[in-house]
Amino acid sequence: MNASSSASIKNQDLKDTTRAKKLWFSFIVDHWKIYLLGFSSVLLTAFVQVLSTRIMGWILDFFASKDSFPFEFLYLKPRKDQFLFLFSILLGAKVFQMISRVGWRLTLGRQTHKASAQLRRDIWDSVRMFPVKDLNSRFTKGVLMSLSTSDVNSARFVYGFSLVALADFLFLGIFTLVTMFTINVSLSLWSLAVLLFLPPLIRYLSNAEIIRYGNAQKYLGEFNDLCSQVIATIRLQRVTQTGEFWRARMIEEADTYRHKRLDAVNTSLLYIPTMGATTIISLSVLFIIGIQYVLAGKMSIGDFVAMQGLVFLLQDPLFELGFIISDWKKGITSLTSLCEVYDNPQDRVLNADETIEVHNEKETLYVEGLKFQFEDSDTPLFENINLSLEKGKRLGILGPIGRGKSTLVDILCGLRRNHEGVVLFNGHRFKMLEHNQLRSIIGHVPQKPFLFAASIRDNIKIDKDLNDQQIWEYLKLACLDQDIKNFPDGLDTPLGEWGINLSGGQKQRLTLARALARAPEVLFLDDCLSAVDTLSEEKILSNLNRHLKGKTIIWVAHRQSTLKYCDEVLELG
Amino acid sequence: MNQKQSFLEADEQDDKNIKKNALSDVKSFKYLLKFAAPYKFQFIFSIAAMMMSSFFTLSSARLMGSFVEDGLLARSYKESAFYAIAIVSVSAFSFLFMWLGRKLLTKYSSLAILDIRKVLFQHLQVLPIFFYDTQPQGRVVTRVTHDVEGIEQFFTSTLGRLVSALFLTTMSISAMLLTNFWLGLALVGSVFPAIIFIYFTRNIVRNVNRRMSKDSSALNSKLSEFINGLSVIRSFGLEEWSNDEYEVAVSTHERSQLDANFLYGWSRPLISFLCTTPIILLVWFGGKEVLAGTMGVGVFVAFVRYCERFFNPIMTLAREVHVIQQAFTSAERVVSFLEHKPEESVLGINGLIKDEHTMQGRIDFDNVWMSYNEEDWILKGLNFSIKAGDKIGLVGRTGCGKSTTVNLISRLYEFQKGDILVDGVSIRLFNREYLRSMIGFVAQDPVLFRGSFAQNLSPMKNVSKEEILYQCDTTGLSKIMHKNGFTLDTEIFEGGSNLSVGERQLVALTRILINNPKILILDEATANIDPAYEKIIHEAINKVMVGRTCLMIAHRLATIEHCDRIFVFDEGRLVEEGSREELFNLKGYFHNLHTAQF
Repeated sequence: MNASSSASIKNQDLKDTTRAKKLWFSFIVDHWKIYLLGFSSVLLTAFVQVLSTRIMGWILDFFASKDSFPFEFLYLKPRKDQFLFLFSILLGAKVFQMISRVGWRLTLGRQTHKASAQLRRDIWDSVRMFPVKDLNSRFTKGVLMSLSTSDVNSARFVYGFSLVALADFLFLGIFTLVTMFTINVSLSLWSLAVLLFLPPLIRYLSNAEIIRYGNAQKYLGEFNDLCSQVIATIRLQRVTQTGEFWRARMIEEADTYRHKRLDAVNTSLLYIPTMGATTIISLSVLFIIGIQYVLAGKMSIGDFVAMQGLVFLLQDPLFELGFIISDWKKGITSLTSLCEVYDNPQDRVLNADETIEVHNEKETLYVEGLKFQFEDSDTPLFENINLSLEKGKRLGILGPIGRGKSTLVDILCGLRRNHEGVVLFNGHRFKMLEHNQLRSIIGHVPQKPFLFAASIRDNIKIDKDLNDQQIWEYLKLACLDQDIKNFPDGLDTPLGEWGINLSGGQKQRLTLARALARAPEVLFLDDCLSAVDTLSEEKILSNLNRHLKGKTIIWVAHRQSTLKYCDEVLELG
Repeated sequence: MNQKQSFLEADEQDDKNIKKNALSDVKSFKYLLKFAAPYKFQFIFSIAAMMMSSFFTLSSARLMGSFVEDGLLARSYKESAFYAIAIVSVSAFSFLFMWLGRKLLTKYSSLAILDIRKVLFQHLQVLPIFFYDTQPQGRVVTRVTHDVEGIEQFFTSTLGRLVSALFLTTMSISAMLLTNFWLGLALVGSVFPAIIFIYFTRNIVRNVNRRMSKDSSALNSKLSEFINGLSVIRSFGLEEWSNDEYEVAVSTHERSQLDANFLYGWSRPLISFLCTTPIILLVWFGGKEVLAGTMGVGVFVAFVRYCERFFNPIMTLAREVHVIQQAFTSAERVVSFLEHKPEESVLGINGLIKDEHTMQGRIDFDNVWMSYNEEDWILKGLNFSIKAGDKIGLVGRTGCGKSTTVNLISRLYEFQKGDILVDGVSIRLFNREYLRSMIGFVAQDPVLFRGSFAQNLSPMKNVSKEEILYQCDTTGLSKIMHKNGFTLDTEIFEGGSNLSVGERQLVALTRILINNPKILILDEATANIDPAYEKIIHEAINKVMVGRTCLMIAHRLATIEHCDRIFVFDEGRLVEEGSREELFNLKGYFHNLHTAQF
């Protein structure tokens, strides 16, 4: 998976980014007022920033000679008033700078969060409709998780910070240059010329930084998985005396991670010599040319000092240009990957050809000549299956592990449709029936229990409105009421990583109770009591048989004893 | 289960208690400093380099003043050139030393962090199993991962910036005070509003950051959970519901981000503004002095440069204050984790009997009582004896005490009354590591890791290839490897994902043969086996059992068909004991189990 996902990231450079750009553009257009406001704030910030540097130059000039003052209308005023005027501009500039900074942070900065939330919303909005098999191939959990975290984060930049940087670059760069040119043209040209190496260098550094931090972060993820695995299996390590081995393994991985992180931090530290070189080059140019100009009387000392400040100010936009290009590319690439999730086709199970109201027919299931074969297999998993199941009857499906029982159940309850032969549910093909209605009629308890990280109550309720009394009733049917009464928090007991760990049998019984709580007309039980002890299993089976009178049940097992209540048994394999 | 839950809460309080117990920031930081001790010379050197760098930076500001006053104003080409060259070289040194210092600091910090990780990993191995039963797994994982990252983040990135910022500030202050004491003092004093502001908003900043990271991980877990459960969502038609639930998580996260954006949106520019007060004051007061002729323009220029140096360090502080706080919190947690008592405290001093003892495998339980909390007894006066080489099946309902019995033999828990004897010697007199190495354990899901077959088969010991291959032949693993074209050097993927469950179980069984224990415990070892492997695994198990005392925990009676005797447990007592036929004829507990299943 790792190899393929990194390959796909590389390929994305070549992929068409039009879709991503359109998505980006429409968001900007939809919020054009905020973006306009934000842009103006950035403009103001940049303007004020250049202005305050210029003021320092004026002030110095004003101090250095008695007759130099840049504002004609104050020429004849006393020096004290002139000073007061310059000081007010300085103070005003600083205050405006603060206000305009608040301005763009609360507009453009805010939009990046709003955009990222929307991108995240759209991920699940699309993934919830995915065919389940896509999660095993193209969009594995790892891929989707990293899309939702790192890709959304880098896409976020193009919705705000890239724009701030761009505006900053344009305005600050142009303002600085213009101001510089008004002071001294040739010195400005020289300073600009020697700094042109910066943008490509910064772009290179920034790319390297992103990649290396990404590598370190990815490795950290794997390392954390290892830690979780070690902690989860600590008991087994203790009894098998393999703890020492795992400890050595963790240290080894920790050291590899250390190197990767060091690599990343050292890349960031490369900005120090880069800045150093830039400073030295700018200073050298400034001194070599500037000293001559000043001593030759072509330039005032105040102008020289202002020029020095401006040259350093010019470094910022040039640095920024590198970042802008790199962030923009990365952001659009991430947005393109996200678009692939948004455009992935839905599970065909979700779309009915024409919706027919499901009526309670006498015959719940009718199957004729059913054959199924996996795409990558040469032989069919099963073929020529025929059956007819009347409403209220119990069908058993028996067979050893690995003979396709679960696949058959998936087909019979309409969750898998790529089979040959006829399958009719209440007299209709599944594709004629609407998904949500179908699911409210059919209950399915899978072999491997899956529970949500929520309280026991919420795991049973999910989207249904049930009172505690009803919940206890279903728990009792699944023989889980006693276990839960022993938990101090009862129905409020949390499950999941931060909650209590249920045993395999308890989990299975809880998933059964959850399915029962949805009061299905047809219930599929896919070997769902394999980890429950024999006595409890027996009790549950008789509970179900009694409680679900009149409902249809399809029971799957690899042991005959489980199927004692069945009217007929289909043997596989 | 009952007392597990109360321990969950107890520890939650324990976490809160840390503050009350006055395990103060300073104390935990002192503890962490111990990890820096081995590298103290390197640390001192790198800090010295950064100090030098700050010194050079400041010198360049001072030189810039002289350059203007003595060079340009004096219209001296020679002086100007001299100062220009001095400024350029001093700047070059400043960047060079900074780079060097930061690189060294990062490197040695990362080594110190590695040492912290090593100590934590070691601690995981010596904590009593009881500790793991009573802590949510998530919390232990967080201590070892996230909390160390908090410390790491601080040491490898923030500390460097902070140290150099601190020096720069200190030196700027000294330079200003030396140049013009009262003006300097006034300017230094004027930064205090910024610092006070940062100090008083630090908790708000921390809470905002915490909320963001909490909401962000909640959002990530939700996505991960829903991805895992997509098939359940599909089969229940919960697509709409899941979208609503996810929307709540996204919006909560969004709101906390927007709140943070608002906080930073006004506070950062305000801090920037407060940081520029020195310049404004300088122009106001200094300007008046210059106008009055009591201060030189050169001094004024130098002061402008000093004031500019103030700006960045304080902004750094404002930006990184939450990282610093996080590091303190993380340090506290890591230290309190390391203070949890090791196995020794529960199980007593390790016994002395080890290698020289040749274990036979006889096991006796003599009126053993066991409880996790001295109140609810899990085992109530258990008595039995197992001859060396006997095969015993243990059956009973969940919670009947059969797993506890097995765990006591491995010394995972302490028992309170009675005694357990191995080869007639009290189990407490054995060296725990030796005892455990003499017990083989086959679990339902064997643990495999990324590494070659040879490493997986013999992770600890250096066993010869011939020996490994010989044992592979015995269990039948060789045949499977041959069929799939695997050799001992073939890489097994993480968790053994390139092998089937049956193949993984065969690896685990071969591993046992190589370790050659005298006692074997099988915990539902054949539960998930694919039919193609059922026969071969059964044969392998039969071979592995030869010459060892075997205890088989079984939920399914078919598993224990070949046992010499079967122990039936109920509520911490041994209620029935005997061969399969004997028990069946008793028409008691075992009979009930049997009829329910067949």
